[in-house]
Amino acid sequence: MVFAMSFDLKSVKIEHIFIFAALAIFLYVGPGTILNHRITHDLPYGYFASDAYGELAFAEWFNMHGKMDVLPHYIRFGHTNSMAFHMPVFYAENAMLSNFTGFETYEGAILPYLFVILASLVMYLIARQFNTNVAILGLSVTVFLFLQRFVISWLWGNWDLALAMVFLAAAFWWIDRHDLEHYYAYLGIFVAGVLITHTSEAAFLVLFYALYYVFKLAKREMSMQETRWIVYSGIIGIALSFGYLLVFYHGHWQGSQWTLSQIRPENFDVTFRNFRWAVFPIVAGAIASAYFALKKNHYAALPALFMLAIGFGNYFGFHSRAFQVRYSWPIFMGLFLGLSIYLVLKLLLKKLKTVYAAALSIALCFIFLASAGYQDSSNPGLMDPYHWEMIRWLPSQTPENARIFFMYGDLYNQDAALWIDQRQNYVAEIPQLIEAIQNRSIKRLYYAEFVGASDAFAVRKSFFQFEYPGLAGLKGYTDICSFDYLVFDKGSGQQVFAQYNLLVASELVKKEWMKPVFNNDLVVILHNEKPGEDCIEEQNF
Amino acid sequence: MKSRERTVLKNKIFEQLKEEIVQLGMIIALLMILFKIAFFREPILNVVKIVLAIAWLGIIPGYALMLKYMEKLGFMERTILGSALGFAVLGILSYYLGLAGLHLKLHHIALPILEIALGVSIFYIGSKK
Repeated sequence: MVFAMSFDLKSVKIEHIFIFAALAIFLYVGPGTILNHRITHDLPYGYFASDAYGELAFAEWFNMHGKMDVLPHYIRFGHTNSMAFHMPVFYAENAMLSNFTGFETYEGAILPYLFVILASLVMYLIARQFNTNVAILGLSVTVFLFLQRFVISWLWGNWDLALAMVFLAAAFWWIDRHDLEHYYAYLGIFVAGVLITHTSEAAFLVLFYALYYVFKLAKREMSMQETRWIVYSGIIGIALSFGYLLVFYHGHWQGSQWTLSQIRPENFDVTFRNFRWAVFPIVAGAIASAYFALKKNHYAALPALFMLAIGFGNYFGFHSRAFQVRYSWPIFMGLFLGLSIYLVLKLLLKKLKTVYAAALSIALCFIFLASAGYQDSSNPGLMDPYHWEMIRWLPSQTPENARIFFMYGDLYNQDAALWIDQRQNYVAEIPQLIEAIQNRSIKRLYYAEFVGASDAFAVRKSFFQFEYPGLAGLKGYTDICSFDYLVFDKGSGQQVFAQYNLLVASELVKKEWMKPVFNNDLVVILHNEKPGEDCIEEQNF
Repeated sequence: MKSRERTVLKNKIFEQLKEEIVQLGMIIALLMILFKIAFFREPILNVVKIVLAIAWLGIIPGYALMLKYMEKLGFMERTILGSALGFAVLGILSYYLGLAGLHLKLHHIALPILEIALGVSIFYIGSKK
C-alpha cells in the first residue's frame, strides 16, 4: 500500500508512453508475426535454416550436459572429448529461459527478436543524447529489422549476432561516459559480452574504440586519465573472456580460414535499397550526422556512422562479416532518420513538441510497414509435424549409440535439424543418389556424409594444452547394412526421390531382420536387427 | 558530510528506491499486456511466464547492477542499459560457473540472485562513502 501510494503518475512522460507504443508495434510485427502470435508451438517454429537448428541442438545438449566443455558425441563421430568452442551465450540464455518457463528449448527462437529490439532501445538512448525528438523520430526505423532482407538473418539462425548487437550497442553507450565513476568496469563487461557472444563483433568494437581514441586525441580531448580508463576497460574485458578466448582460438579460429577479402552482395544480402524510400532521409541524416560529429562534437553520431561504414566493409576486406552488420543496420540508423526529419521540421515549425514527434514516429512505423509489404502471416519454416514426430521418436526409442542412415529427404540438406535426434546420423549425398536413380540401380553402398559439426576437432588436455587428433571417414561410400536404423521419406518436393526411397525400403524389408518400427504419413523407419549382415540384393529395376 | 545530512540523503535514496521498485513492477505488468497483444493466440499464463522469465533473468538483475548510478542516470536509462547488462553478466557467469561445476539447470535460479546481491552490495558500499 505504501509502495503503491509512492508512485506519482505525473512522472509518466509522453516519451514513456511513446516507447511502450513503439514496443507494442515491434513486438507485434516482429516476434509476434514471425512466431504466428504464439509463444509455444507443437514443433520448432520460425526455423528457416540449418544454423537455427544448430543453435537449438547445442542449447539442448548443454542444458542436458550441464556445462559447455565438450560437444555432443552424436555430432562428433562418437567422440566424447571434442572441445566445445562455439560462442556460448545464446545457448545458456535459451536454456535458462526454457528451465524458468518450462517451455520447450526450441521456443527460445523468440530471444533474438527481443534482443534486437533491446539493442534498438539502447541506440535510442545514444540518439537521445543528441535530442529526444530526434531519438523518437528515429526509433521507427526499427520495424525494418522484421522486414525485407533484414529479417533473413534472424530467420536463418544468426542468433548469436542478435545478442551481440545488444552488448555492442551498450558498449557504444558506455565508451563516452567518462563522467560516470568506474564506467570502465561496466564497459569492460560489455567488451567481454561481445567477445563471448559473437566474437567477430568484438573486432569492430576494438576498431571503433581505436578510431574514437584518435578522434578525441585529434581534438585534444583525451587526457592521460581517460587513456588509462580505456586500457582498464580492455583489461577487464579480456580478463572476463580469457577462458573462452583460449577455447575460441584453439577451436573456432584454428578451424576457420578467415582472411581479408572483398565480395559483392548476393540476392539475400542487405543493400541500402531495402530501406525503401526511407533511404533518402537516412542518407541525408548520415551526412548531417557527420557534420554534427565533426563540427559540433556530437558523440551520438559516431557509432551510427561507424556501423554504416562497417556495413560497406565487404568492399574493403571484411567479407561476409560486413553483410552480417548490414542485417542489423535498422538498429543503428535511427539517428540518421530522426535527424533528417527533425531538421526539416525545424525549418517548418517554431517548436517541435514531443507529442507530435511521437505521433509522427508511430505513423512512420505504419508507413514503413505498408511500403515494405508487411503481411500478418508466417509459417514454421523447415519443420513439419511428420519429421518432427520422427526426430523426437528416435532419441526416445533407440539406443544412445545407434547409427542411423537417412535416404533422401527435403529436410536433410539443412542437416543440423537432425542433430536434435541425439544420434549418429548419415545422410545419402544427392549427386550419387541421382546417379543411382539414373542407372536404375539399387545398391548396398551409398555415398553418404556423417551429419555433424564440420569445425576443428580439438581436444583439451590441460588449461593451455590442446590437441587436434583429426576426424576421418566422415564422407564416402557407406554400407547401409551396417546401420542400426534406416530412415526413408515417403514424400518429397521431387517425387522421384521418394519413389526411389520406397523401392529401396521395400527391398530391405524382404529380410526378416529388417523391421518397420516407425511409420507416419511422411516417414518410415526400419530397424536393422542384424547390422553387418547382407541386407539387400543389389539389382537394377 | 555531516551525519544528519547523510541521513537525509539516505532517506531520500530509500524513498526513490521504493518508487522505482513500483515503477519496475509497472513496467513488467505493461510488458505482459504488450506481449499478450503481440502473442494474442497464447494463453495468458504462458505470457505471464515468459515476461517473468525475461524480467527475472535480465531486467531485475540489470536494474540492481545499475543502482550504483541511481543519482547520475534516469530510471529509463538504467532500466534499458541494465537489461543489457543483466543479460551480459548472465551469459558470462553461466559459462564459467558451468565449467566450475554448477549445472546449467540451476543457473536460472542462482545467477540472477547472485547478480542482484552483487548490484545491491555495490550500491550499499557506494552509499556508505
